[in-house]
Amino acid sequence: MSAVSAKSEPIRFEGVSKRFGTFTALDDVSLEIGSGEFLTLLGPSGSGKTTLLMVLAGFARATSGRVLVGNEDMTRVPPHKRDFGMVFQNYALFPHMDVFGNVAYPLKLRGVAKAEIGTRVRRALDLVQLSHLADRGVDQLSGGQKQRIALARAIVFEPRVLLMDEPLSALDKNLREQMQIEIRNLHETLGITTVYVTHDQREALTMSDRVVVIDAGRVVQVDTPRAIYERPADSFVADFIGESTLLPVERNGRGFSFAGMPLRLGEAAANGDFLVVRPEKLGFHDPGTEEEVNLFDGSLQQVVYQGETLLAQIRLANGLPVTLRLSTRREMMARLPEIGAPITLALHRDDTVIVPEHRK
Amino acid sequence: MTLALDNARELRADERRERFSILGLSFPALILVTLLVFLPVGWLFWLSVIDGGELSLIHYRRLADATHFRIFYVTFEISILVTVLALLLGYPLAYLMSQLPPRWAGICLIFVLIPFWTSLLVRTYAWLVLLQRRGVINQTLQDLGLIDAPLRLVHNYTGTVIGMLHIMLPFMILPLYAALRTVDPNYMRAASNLGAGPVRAFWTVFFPLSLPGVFAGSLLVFILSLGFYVTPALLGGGRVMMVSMKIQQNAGLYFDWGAASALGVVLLVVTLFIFWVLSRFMRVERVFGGG
Repeated sequence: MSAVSAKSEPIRFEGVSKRFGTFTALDDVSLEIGSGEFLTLLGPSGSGKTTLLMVLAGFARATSGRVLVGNEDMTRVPPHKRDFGMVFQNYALFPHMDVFGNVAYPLKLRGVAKAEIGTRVRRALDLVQLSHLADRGVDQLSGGQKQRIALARAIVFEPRVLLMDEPLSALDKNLREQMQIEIRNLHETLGITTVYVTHDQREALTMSDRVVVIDAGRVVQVDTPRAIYERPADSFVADFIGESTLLPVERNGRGFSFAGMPLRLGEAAANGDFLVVRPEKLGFHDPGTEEEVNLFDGSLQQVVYQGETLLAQIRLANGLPVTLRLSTRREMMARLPEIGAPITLALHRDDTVIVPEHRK
Repeated sequence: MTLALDNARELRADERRERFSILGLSFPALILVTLLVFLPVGWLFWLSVIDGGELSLIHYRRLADATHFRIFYVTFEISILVTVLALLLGYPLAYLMSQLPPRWAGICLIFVLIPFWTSLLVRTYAWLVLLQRRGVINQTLQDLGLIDAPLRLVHNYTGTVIGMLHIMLPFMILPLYAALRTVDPNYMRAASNLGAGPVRAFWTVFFPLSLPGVFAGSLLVFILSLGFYVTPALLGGGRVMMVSMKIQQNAGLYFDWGAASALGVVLLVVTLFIFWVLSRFMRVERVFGGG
């Protein structure tokens, strides 16, 4: 039972730039989004991710470059002729219409017959499990309900692609996590090409088929969530996604070394400036594993209890600080020495990642 | 124990002091409103029901004739006309200002406010100069050969409407602008994204959302127009008689305070009635600022 069918078309950005005066918001962005893909644009505020979405939606005009959907050049098509569904950050539900009116609006514009409007609105509302709220006024809805109505409105007319601009940023944490799963499920049901903008890296990792990391108007890395996290392309991605400490490394023949100690690497890195140390990848040294791990000696400085995990601050022998994240399981906590005591940390060679410095 | 009690008492006293200080600050305005509005209005009402020292409705009965009906009719006709024209002229400008970046909107706002700050009398006489037989407009039109004889632009209905429209425009534009500026641009983006062209998006989304501003501006202009005196008196040339002018005539010329008061009371009641009717359709307190 496909409740609302949807097309799925690929999207292609070809050398898209956007300048505001002397400020470059987008710098020669080229990007291919597969049909039916869930792609997330992730970056800090001001990175250009929203501008890229605005160019795609047609609300901002690119200074140069082309945007294609399917085989159609959309660069100069006005937004109302693009046939894209969009969910806005603040939902933008029309306050002078009730829920039904909002969801019916795009169908009315398309001259759909009245009886069919009723059926399709109901189907879209069923899909977001809110058909019982059709007669409600918009201001009587909770944040999560508004979010779902906005979603229903964006898909009811079977748009070519679905765009979402930080749609969950106004919701509280629990609801946000629930909606992430729901949106993901909805995407699977509809199979519609979806472009999602967020500055929340966990959200990006949770929801996407692929993540595009953007900084200063440039695409830094396009990859699966796992690759983005485990194999960051450079120091910016390593730093922006998740927690990490970047330790300077030196070139050592064909490999790298840290503080004079050669590093065992899972896969060879061509060039690099930093070792990426993620707190949860570090562990205690178990004798007999020396061939598989890199060992770091230091002393325990501080322990911060955070509920399910705790953070331990460690000063390495050469004075640089790293952070260790430990599960608060009893046997793990028991292995933690006293504050000030020496500690040896192990980092698996497959988790030993070298990244080049981010070029601005 | 006593310490905790003392503390609670002191906190309560603080709260009381705070409330009194706010009340104290609003006291002067409260006194002014009471003394300068309610007392005179009450006095007017009293005068309107007194004739020769006795209670009487004679002043009201005298109003029920063709002359007075005509005066009220003209007053309402002009007020409605001025309101509609002010809305038609003011909306596009307010819309433009609401879409401009704040800097440019500020500059536009100054151009709206400069005439607003200029004396009413000065502006009215300026219109007299512009509109009269040998005024700038007639001279120019004649020089261009567009007309043979000067148009009758002033000392009549036309002149009154032109002059009042000019005076009233800022009263329309300012509340409209305030209302239009609060319409989230994302609504228009959403409409456009959902498939509405610019015209369709405006009429189905922006305009309905701007209605509180339309009501606010229209109500303000309409009510101010109902009681307008200076401009119709100067530009109407005696051919246009509005209620306020009849009141002035009764009080200033005939010293008939009873008749003047009765007219005033009727105008006030009618105005309040209109206000009440409109408030049935919309939340007036929302129109005049506030959430």
